[in-house]
Order: sequence, then structure tokens, then C-alpha cells
Amino acid sequence: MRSALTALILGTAVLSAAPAFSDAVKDGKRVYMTKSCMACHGRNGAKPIATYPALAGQNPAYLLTQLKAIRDGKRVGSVDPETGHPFVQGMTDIMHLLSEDDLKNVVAYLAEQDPAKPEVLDPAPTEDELAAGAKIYKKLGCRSCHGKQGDKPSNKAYPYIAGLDREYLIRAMTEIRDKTRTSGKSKMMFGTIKRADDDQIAAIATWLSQIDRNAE
Amino acid sequence: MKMQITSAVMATVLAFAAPVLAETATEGWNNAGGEQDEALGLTPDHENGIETYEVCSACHQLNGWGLPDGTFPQLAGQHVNVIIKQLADIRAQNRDNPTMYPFAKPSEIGGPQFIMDVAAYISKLPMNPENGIGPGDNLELGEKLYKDNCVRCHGENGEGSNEKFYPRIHGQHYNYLVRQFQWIRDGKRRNANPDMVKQIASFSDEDMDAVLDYVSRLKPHPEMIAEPGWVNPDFDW
Repeated sequence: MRSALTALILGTAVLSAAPAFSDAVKDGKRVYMTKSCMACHGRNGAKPIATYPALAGQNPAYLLTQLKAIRDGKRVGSVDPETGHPFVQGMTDIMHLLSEDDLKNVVAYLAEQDPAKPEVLDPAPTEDELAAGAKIYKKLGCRSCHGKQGDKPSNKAYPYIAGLDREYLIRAMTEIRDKTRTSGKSKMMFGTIKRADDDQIAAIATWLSQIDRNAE
Repeated sequence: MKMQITSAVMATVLAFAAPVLAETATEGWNNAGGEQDEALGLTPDHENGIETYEVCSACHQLNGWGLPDGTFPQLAGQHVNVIIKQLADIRAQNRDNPTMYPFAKPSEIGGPQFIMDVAAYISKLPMNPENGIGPGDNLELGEKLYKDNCVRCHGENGEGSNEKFYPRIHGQHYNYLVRQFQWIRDGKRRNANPDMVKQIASFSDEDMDAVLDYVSRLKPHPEMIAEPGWVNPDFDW
């Protein structure tokens, strides 16, 4: 009888907390769809165009840090040779549209979405190529922050990296290694990635890009 | 559903289309050729226009009304030719737009058929009844400047011309107009019509603000404007 009562009280407490959270997700969805995010990062943050990252199911604390860094010009990154502008320029130019509440809500929404499916690479990587990437990933020590397969960050501030676009992963690792990207915690990652050459980065990216977080 | 344009087709299209589109007074302004010319000759598909527009709606909004702060322009009701030309120019990097660049690419939007489909769809959307307007403190000057400088191309009422690829500018957000005008005057908008650049070279910032405030208040024909609160029924969110 007592445990049923406790369950009822706890259940009610949970239910009354739920509306605030689900409001954030709902508001976040509206932000996502009307303030231009969907254009590049795709439906539900899971179908990005070009080499932009999927955001679905990402850690909200990480997303928030990146949004602010991009907004404030602290994350500029490398230049797209096709346009002559940094890859993030298109995003920096519209960040003034988002209020602080919008940022909090949109990351709450994105965190709740099912992770994107891995892209289909053509030609498909061989088993050996994938294994090579996994091996380098393990050797460098990436696991300690990103998890065994890039799918279990050890800290809410670190990103999931499994299943992201291969070109995006190469770009991110290269920018952090070459100190083009030093915002947030990327300085901490520098020590780990600085030993990787371009081939190793590509191998890791190939392997990571094929991991399906939904399959777990 | 991506069209492969062989170089032979492109060469043929260019050979036929270039003389038709070349402006005598503004050689080179409108010779994008390629996908632009292909698109212009196609019959639009309404359903595909809706589907293609969905991605555009992320910035230009479901109604095609953009944002009143001018970050994204009002596109609803714009001339088909103008939309196609601007997409082609952004794609070819004749016009610098980092946010939009990916969406002008056939690999993202689809080939010329998709460009025509989405342009035709946008051109038929009812226009924003409440576009962003200017401060309203210098309209007499604005009207005079407009009548002396802009009517020849943009029309008495800012309606532009589809045949001549001159954009409809009435009903557009004031801040967007200011940004584009400034960039055209100062050379940052590289696909600007050279005649316009010459025409506005001597405009001061005060002139610019005044004339664009006037333009932002010009009203399209009532049939072209949506009722306030109109929601695009083609999308369900």
C-alpha cells in the first residue's frame, strides 16, 4: 500500500515536471524548422545536406557550446574552397535570429531525435579499411572521451561522433589537429589528435561514419 | 532525380539562348547560360514545386514571406525569371551568399526542372501583407528619388518586369532592400545590373534609406496580397 502511494506521488511529480520539458522540445522544434536550421541540417536534424553534420540525438550541452561559439565567431574553422568562405559562415550569418531561449529549446529538441542513419559511401569501404580505422581510433585514445565506437561520450559536454558525415569528421579532426578550431574543449582534444596524419584521420572518419547508433 | 546535362546539350542551349537574353545596354549582365537557360524553357510541375520548396521554407518560411528583419527576403509573388536568374547567379558564385549557396546547387535542389518548378511555385504564392517597412520620416524625398531614378526599370509601383529580369521590389522587407541596395551601390553584389550601379552611384545613405522606405510601402495589386494570418495550405506543419 505504501509503495503504491509512493509510486503515485513520484509519478505525479514526474508528470508535472514533464510539461516544461516537452514544451522546450516543442518550442525547439519550431525554432529548428523556422529559423533556417532545417535547411542545412535536414528534417529532424538527421538528413544534413552537403558535408554538414547531423545533429539528431547529439548531447545538448555540446550543441549549446557549439551554437554559441559559432554565433560569437569563436568557432570559424576552415574555408570551403568552393566558396571562399568558412564552412560555418552561412550559419554565423543567421545566428542573430536565435534568442538565448531559442538556443536552449532547439538543443533540447535535437537531443531527443533519433540519430541519423550512416551515409552510404561509394565505393563502399572494405572490412580491412573499417578495421584499420577502428584500430587507429583505439590506439590514439579517442575512446576515453567519445566511447568505444564514438557512441558513448564520457561527459555530457563531449559529442557523439558515430554515424556523422565522413567529410565532416575529417574536417573536424583536421581543424582540431591543425589548431584551426580551438573553441570549447577542442584544445583538450589537440593532445590526442596531434599525432594523427591525414591518412589516419581519413581511416577513422570512414569507420566512424558507418556506425549506426540506431542499431544498438 | 538529378538531371545530367551533357556538355553538348549545354553548348547547344548556350548557342541558342545567349543572343536572346543578351541585354544591349548591359552586355554580360544576364548571360548565365547553362542551367538558367535550360530551366527557363521548361513547363513547371506544381507538385514538385511544393516538394522542392519545403527546404526553402526553412529560411523563407512556409508562406514565402521571409523575415521582417530582412535576414531572408520575401519571395512570394516574385517573377519566375528573377528567381531563376538569382538562383543561377548564386550557384555560379556571381552573387555571394554563403547561407544560400548549397541550395542553389543542382546537387541539392535538383536540376533545371526543379529550379523551374520551385520558381513557378514561389511566383504564385500570395505576398506578405505586413512586410517590414522603414521609419517613415523622409517619404517625400523617397518618393521623388523613386520617380526620378527607379521607375524606368522597377515600374511605377515597384512591380519590376519578368521579361527583363527586373525584380518586383514592392512588398519587400525594408532591411533587406537596404542591404541589397547598399551592396549594389558599393560593388559587393557582383551580379548587379550595371545600369543600376551607375544610376545609384551618387545616392547618399540618407537617399538610400528614404527611397527604400518609400518602396517598402508600395503596395502590390490587392489580388496578389494574402489576407493577414494566411497560412500556406500546401504544408501541414
